[in-house]
Amino acid sequence: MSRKRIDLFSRVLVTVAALLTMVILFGIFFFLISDGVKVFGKISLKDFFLSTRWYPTYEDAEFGILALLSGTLAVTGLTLLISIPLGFISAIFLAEFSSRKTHDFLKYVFELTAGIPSVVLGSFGLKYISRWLMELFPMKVWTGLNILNASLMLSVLAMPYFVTLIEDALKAVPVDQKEASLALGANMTSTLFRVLIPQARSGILNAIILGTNRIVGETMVVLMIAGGATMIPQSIFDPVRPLTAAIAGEMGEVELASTHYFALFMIGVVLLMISLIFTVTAMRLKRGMRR
Amino acid sequence: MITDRIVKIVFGIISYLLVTIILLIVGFLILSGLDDINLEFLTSFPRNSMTEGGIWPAILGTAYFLSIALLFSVPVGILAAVYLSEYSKENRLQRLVLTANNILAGIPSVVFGMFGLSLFSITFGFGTSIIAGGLTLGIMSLPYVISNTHESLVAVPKSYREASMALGANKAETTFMIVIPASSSRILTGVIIAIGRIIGETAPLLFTGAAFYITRNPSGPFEPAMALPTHIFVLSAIYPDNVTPQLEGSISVLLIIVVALFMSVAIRRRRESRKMEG
Repeated sequence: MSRKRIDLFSRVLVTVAALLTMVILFGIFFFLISDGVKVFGKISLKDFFLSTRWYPTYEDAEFGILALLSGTLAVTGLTLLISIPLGFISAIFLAEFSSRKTHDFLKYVFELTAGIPSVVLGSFGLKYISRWLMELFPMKVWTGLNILNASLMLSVLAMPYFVTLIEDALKAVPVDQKEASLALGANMTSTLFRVLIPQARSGILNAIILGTNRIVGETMVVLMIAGGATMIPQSIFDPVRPLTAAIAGEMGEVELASTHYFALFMIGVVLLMISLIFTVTAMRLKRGMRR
Repeated sequence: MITDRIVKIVFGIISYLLVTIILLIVGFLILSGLDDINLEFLTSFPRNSMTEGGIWPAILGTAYFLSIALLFSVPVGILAAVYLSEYSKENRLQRLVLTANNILAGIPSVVFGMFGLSLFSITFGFGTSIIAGGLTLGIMSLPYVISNTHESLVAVPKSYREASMALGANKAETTFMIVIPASSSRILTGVIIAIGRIIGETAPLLFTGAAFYITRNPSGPFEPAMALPTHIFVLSAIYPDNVTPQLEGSISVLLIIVVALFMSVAIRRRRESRKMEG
């Protein structure tokens, strides 16, 4: 091949590789939706989304995902309540109050935390946290596998995202803003709360959206320790079965091309749409920030 | 100034407390399995419905799944990143590719598992196999490889490209003989990060490639294999207390690998930033 040909060939090759990402994304939507919509041949739209009765293996099988959805909401909500404030505090400490050495050490541990396989945390919650919860709240807890247990372990997974992304958002605020505030005699704390955080708010929102997306999609922790009960939870000690846990727990035994199989794919479509909305919103925010 | 002092101390204590809890969990899990790990555990098959024996097929299986995943995602990811940083202008197509990549990175792993099941296992007829599971993991890791490589390529100074072009090299020669070699160390760091992301993935493998219990090695890529994370899931969720040493040992091995990967990333990054500072 001549040099010119190689040049042209590589141009084509890299363009094809780049287009492949779009093909894959399109393929994921195509395969999930084309199987997922088939559930509506048997189940009405209203029954699927608004019924709390998920009994896929009964003789008169029912496929309502409202209880599963409420499980996802409960676990995600409690995880956010635990991990956002803690992540926020650590991010502020890292961005403004730590020496370089402290900063690097803490940051390294948080990065490592993001790499802990979720199945390992699931196993830890199953064996230890569930027992501690039973001993700690003997009157309230009837199973150690519940919303609180899953949220504690999910917080370990979610916090590093919040710490890293919120710290980045705080550091992205132009340094002259901070210096102007300090020069006017404000101390670091009020500079932080009156100048830095308000200035960084779209970056912080971006961080919260991306972190929430992670929590909603997390599978192994909720499969192993959220309890698996199909019910609308009344307290944080109730067991639930989030959307991802239903898919991962039932996909192995489901008969191919059955209504149950299609229903699980429709749940997959719901998860896909949630993550699409979160990611696109986060990207919009980020673009707005740059302007 | 007193307020600053108090905020610093309180926020510092909370941060250190969090890090301590995390390190305690990781350290505890590694240490409690350490006495179960020996050469026999690492190199023998599970026996007697997994209550005895080791994790050799799970280690080997994880290596198989990762090899296939990287065989797909590293070349494709590097080429796509080359398109983004070297070949595309700031146009619509580039923005579309970047958007697609961001969306891919945010999709839950269980959804990738369903896609892999539907495309590789059923449509392509690969069934539950190393190739179906490996390709599923490969697609999952693709967005990480692309964004990490893209970042590494953008960090190469413009003057490298200009010098190469000025000497008469064309775009392809400049890209593949100058730009990529100049950023190869950073690209490798990005690949290690991608490995760290997918080595513990469990749900996608459960649908597409995982065998729970095998007594001989898979004879080819179209057979299922065990993997470390799925093995941990099976032991902790399905079998009760009589597999404790096997479970603790498996967790310990997986965590040691993950910690080693992240330590190597930290060391490489420090070396790179020192190089940048001169």
